[in-house]
Amino acid sequence: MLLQLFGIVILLICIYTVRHYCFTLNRIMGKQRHPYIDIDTADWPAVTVLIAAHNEEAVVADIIRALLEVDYPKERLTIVPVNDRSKDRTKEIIDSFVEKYPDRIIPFHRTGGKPGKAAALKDAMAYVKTEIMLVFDADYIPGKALIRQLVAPFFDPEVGSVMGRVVPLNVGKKLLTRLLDLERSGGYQVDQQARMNLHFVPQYGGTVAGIRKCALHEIGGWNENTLAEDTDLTFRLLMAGWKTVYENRAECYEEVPERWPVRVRQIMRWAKGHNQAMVHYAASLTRRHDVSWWERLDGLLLLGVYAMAPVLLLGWVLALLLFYTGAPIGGGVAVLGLAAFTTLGNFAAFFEIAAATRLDGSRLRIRLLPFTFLGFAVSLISVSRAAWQQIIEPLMGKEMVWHKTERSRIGPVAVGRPAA
Amino acid sequence: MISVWAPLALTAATGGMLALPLAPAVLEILRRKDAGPLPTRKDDGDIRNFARSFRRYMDPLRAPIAAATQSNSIMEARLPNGCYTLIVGEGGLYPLSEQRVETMVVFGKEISLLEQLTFMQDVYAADVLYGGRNNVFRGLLGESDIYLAEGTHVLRWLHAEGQLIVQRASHLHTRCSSEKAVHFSAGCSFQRVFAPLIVTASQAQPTFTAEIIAPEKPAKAARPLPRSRVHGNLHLGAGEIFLGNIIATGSIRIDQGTRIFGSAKGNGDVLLGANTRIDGSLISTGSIRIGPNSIIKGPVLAESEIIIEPGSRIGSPSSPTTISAPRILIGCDCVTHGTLWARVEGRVEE
Repeated sequence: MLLQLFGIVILLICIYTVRHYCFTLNRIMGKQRHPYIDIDTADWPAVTVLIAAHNEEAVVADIIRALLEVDYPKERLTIVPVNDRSKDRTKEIIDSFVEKYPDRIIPFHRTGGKPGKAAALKDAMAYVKTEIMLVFDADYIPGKALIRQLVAPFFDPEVGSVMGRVVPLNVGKKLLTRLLDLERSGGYQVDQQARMNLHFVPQYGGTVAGIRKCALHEIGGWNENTLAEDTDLTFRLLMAGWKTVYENRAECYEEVPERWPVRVRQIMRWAKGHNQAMVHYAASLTRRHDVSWWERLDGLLLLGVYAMAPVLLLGWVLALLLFYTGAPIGGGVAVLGLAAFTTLGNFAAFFEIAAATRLDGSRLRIRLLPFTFLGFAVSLISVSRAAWQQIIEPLMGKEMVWHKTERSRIGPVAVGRPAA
Repeated sequence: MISVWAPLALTAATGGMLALPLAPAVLEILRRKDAGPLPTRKDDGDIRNFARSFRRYMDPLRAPIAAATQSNSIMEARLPNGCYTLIVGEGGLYPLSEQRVETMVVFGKEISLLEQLTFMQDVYAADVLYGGRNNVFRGLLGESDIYLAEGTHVLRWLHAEGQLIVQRASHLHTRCSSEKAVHFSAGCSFQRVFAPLIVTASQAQPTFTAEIIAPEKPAKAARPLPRSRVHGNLHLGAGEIFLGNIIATGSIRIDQGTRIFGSAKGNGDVLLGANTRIDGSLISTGSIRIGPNSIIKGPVLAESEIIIEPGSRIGSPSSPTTISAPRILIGCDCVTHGTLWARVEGRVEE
């Protein structure tokens, strides 16, 4: 029994290893797809930009200022800051902008209702009068061309949502921010773009992103009962025949967590939300014959990403058990087998990060690669803990709580000029 | 004595070997040589940015240009950065004999260039410029019309405030734009072109201004159209009318005279018959062939190739658009409003 379970673990790790290597090799050697990047002249549609803001006094002014300066027809761009029950100066800051630009900013001050970003966005839909809407978290700083880059794919009638690339701004602050910068590079520069290249399932990430309103309406709107509305939306759109596309050159600065406890809470929330989506959609996705075979396979692997952390821990425990119980294949072989596969599995992800830094053209940050193991270990434990809580908490009658990521920014950031 | 030092030496050596691979990482953490955010795109992507920055670069020469033009003379001037510039204040035929011009050149008046001239630096034309056969320009900014004769090569960029007329077998290797119109003759090649009006013809001719600026009545704000998704290949018969956006998971074939009040997307090749009209965009993950005398209002994008047959019209004056594919082949008597962007090769066919 233990042996069979161990075999399944090794098989799963091997599958994810192959996936990582395929993505990385595709990015290094494959044909790159950027089908919408050249649309620079068009009859640009009217767009609403939603800024999700919950206690964002440290950052909300920067994003509004940046959005007021973007290169998009002013009369076709409406900015809707969604002030979700903030208890700090967020409302005051937003209103000061509304006073200056009453025709460009329509604020939505939400004072009650269910907590969480999806619930706030759901209520904000009453303010969205356009067919295309873009969503940003309040700590993001869009560049001048970003709105057009995110809107361009919507000329394709098959596109339901668009995802841009997230680039950390506060990289140099701590070791954690530097590790997250490497992780983001791997995730976007390699993972997301490879999925785009291969016609797989790029993920809608909930920020630096766009959605077609009729597509959202068709799939039943925002799901406020999830901790990861982005993953939830990706899969509902996929199963309804809408494409999510990734725009690697639609880059936007964000603030990454600077403290480990904040990072742990963030990744635990992502893990729980992602696992919720896995439970809801994995079975129905496999049955969708109108979704291509490759999309279904990639979709399933994407859904299972956060479940792999506890699987890996389980594998280590099983290997030790097999070793000490003297299993027929020999405990030493078992340990060696798992070690080999986990090394490959884990280091496939590091290979991905290394490839991403090369593609980004940054040479020296690659030296930090050995330390990414530290981030990996923290994530492994946190994600496994999240999975454990997800199993235990419903039995204890606890509801899942949405934790907002704390911001560390002090003072305004110059638009288009990153802080050193 | 040896027994005391041996374990210490072994520990030190082992520790050193373990720490050595981490040394670059530790050094990077301490020295923070690459700790800034990755650069992101800051410009607005406008094709005319080169021309604008070149014009700003030329600003200090305004007075010498005016002086040379008034005195019908040829002057030498230096920019604040020490760059040497030749200012030609005479109009008419280009007066210099060298076939290879190594310096930046400014033409203050209407000028006609000789054949076989090569300009190694950027050229600024304050008035109309008539190029000679087989001229080679590195970069060219014209404040009025520019006429490029047969066999011209533009290597880096070109912008005309007036119209740009390009004669046969000319090659615009990178970006090229005009505030009014670009006229291509057959046999020309291009990469990225922007103008309110782009016309292809067997022999390019300038257009009257009134014809260029005549705007269409702007369309009313469109309501979202219904979407139809077809599994497999799609075929619309001749003269059919379709209301809404249509998507095929396979290829699309549309016969002549069909009209789509919406956009069309094929996950394969798309073939349009003659006199087809599409009010939205036309997208393909493969190639697109647009039949003669067709009209497409929105962007036309293909991931491999676009062939536009003679007499077709893409975009409109009030609603300019983009045609983009690695390879674009465009027939004569076609009209495009907006951008033509061929990453690998763009060519005007006979």
